[in-house]
Amino acid sequence: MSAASGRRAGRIMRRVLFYFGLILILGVFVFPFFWMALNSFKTHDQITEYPPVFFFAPTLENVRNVFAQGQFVRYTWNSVVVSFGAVGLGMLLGLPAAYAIARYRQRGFAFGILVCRMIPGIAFLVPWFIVFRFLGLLDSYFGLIVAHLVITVPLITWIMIGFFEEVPIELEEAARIDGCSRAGVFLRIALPLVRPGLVSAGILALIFAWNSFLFPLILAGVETKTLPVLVYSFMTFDFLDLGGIYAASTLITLPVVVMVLAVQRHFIRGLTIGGVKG
Amino acid sequence: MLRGLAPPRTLEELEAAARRLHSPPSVFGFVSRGRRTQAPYSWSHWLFANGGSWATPDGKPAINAPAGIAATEQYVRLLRNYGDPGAADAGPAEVQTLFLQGRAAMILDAVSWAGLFSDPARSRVAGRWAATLAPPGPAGATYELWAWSLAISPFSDKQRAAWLFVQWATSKEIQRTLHLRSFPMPRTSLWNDAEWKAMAEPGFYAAALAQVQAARPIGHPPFIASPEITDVVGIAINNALSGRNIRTELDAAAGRMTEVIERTEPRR
Amino acid sequence: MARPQRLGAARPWRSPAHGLGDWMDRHIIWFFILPAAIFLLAVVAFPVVYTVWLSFFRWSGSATAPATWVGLANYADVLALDPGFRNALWVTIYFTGVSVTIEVILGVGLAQLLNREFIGKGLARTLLLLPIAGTPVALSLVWRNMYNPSSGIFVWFADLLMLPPQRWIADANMVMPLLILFDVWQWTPLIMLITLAGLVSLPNDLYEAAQIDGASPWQVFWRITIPLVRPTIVAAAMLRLMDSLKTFDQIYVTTQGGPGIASQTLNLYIFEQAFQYLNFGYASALLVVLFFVILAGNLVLVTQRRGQL
Repeated sequence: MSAASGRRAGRIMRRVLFYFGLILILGVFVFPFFWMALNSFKTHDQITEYPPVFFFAPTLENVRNVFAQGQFVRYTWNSVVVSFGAVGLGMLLGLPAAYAIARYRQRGFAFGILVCRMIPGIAFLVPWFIVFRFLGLLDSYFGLIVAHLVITVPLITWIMIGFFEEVPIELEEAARIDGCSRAGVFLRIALPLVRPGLVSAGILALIFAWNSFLFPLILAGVETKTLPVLVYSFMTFDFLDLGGIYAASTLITLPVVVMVLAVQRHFIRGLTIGGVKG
Repeated sequence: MLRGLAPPRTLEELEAAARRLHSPPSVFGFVSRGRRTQAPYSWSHWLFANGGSWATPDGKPAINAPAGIAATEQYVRLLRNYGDPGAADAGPAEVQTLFLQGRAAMILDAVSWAGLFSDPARSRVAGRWAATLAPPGPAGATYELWAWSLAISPFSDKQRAAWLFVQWATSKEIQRTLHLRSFPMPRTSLWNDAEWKAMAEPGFYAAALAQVQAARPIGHPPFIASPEITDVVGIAINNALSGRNIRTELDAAAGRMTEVIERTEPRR
Repeated sequence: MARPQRLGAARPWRSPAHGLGDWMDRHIIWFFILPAAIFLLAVVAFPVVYTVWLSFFRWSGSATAPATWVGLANYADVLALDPGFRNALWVTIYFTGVSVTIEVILGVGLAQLLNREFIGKGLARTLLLLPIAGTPVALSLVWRNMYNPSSGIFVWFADLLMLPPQRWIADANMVMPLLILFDVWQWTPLIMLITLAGLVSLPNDLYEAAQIDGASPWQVFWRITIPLVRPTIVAAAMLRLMDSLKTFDQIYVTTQGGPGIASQTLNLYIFEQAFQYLNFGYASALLVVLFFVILAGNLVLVTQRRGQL
């Protein structure tokens, strides 16, 4: 074998190894989702069977059960109301604040938002639970939305700071010279330019609000329970409806996965802008 | 699935039977709750069967008395040697699932599960299981009583509606419906009901009736801070399941128990 | 990278308009901050203050039994190293320390691996988003069942590899590594994505120069790539550290802090004290202590970062 083809063989070998490794790694990250979806179509017996069953006749029983007895549609609506409400309100609070931090260097305020991100959820829950109970806000949409602002506002603000910093200052100065007010500059120049950022921040905030479990666990009741709490409640005290758990888990993960896939570039941009900009 | 063995009539016979029937990984001899928050409930049977109790009459912990140590030794031995590998994490759901699949030879748990075990739609052992009295120990027979109660809060603005609901829920018709679904109800007449007697698996009716008449609420520590004390004892049992020294664990638990009691019980 | 620029610095030509509108516009920055500031005060600062205040009492949340003042007794209990607190502190440090470290190492490695052109790059990136976006409760239930000692899929893997039977999630010694594995699975993609974004922005001429000088790939990686991308890595690590200390859903659903208290982090311990035992005062004191722990952890990383810039 000549030296050149030896080198080429080495290169091909390396490429094969690379793709093999890649598939292995991707497989590891994807497998639990695959397993979750697969088990949704098994009967209870098949799920608890050992060795685990990979080939079987699928059934829609679990999915039917989830819809039949779980009030699934009602709780989906709750999740929608709370997440979208928290993101919408979060945008109103976070966008101007992010702009102010980006343009006017409000470092102290930025630190306040950061502290907000640091505090564990449980720290809010003890006082919130007591105060909400006193104000009659337990098991209310308003209470839950306000609670979830603690998730959405820091996230939106943090991400949007990065995007606002990218808006060229010359454009804003030009507008000011043309007689535009500062508010106008924000609304008519800066905001439209950061539209991709809005999608990023919005999607991220939506997903994390949607996935939230601890807050609705304590603050929501029969009326306003959200999907993650519903899924958890399938793990009832005694009879373990494994089929129901898997089906419900798949159903609740599906919208999130679809959302992410639809706007993945924005999702990634939102995730990375905090890290890259620092 | 008893392979010619008679139902155990003492705790020793229970252990012997478990040893005979234990053939992992397809069948485990004896399964019971081992999770921290759940274990004390099941373990309490051993505690009282050995003559122990949660506390002395003047409110001091008694779980680390010799009876408590013996009870823990027996319980842990059973679960470690003849139980399923997930014992330390087992709550009611896990234990139930194992029995329903036919992977547990014996189980000591709630009477209300009988209906589930006999439901062919969800149980692989429907029609193939039987029940007997919870085996007595050296100190004799003890049976546990656990009841769900209904209460109306003085702060409620729907007290009348709540009262009407309570009346409805405890009425004979509603209780009978639940009783026939194997959620035992407190009305004596129901326990003599012909239809219910016909439904019950062999031995189950006799055992359940005998137990309920002699049962006392021994499953939980008789204190205000019962959940916290249960967890404290549960930690000890769970650590013992992991192999730690039983005496040390129970002594530590008794110490924590004292601290909780002092903090939460009203002064006598 | 854009530097934040001060808008008011250049003196723009002012319009001759007067009145309230003009005054508002000149001080617009305060109006921009106001809603968020109110939010911070009401929804964040107030609960924090309330928690500190409550930590000096003993209260079960009852409407009939009032709170009793106990001064620093709760703190004394915590700091006298209440065994529950001691355990929770250790578990928290162990969990966060190990999982974040592994996530950073694996994440950076993966980023380096994927920082090239290959078929299916878009697909790979998409698939790697799934663990981050999936609902933690749902994922925890799946992992809990995968770890089931009687019928979980890990039992099957172990059997295939002819390993001796384990108790998996019911084993107090195994449970922490298992939870760390779950966390690493879920969050390594995040570190990878952030690091990859940083790698992509590195200039190519440095690599070319290094290759001309005969540097090996490993040397290039260690001496050039890593130092250049270090701020990004540290930022990602800090992000992950903050979030890791807040982990609740995954552990609560998977193990409930068990077996025993082997996986009971401070978060779970506080949750238990507050919402299961109704020791609100004690839980508040624990929260104050937890907050200092978090602050300390974050300060360590912040000083790291400042050193770089």
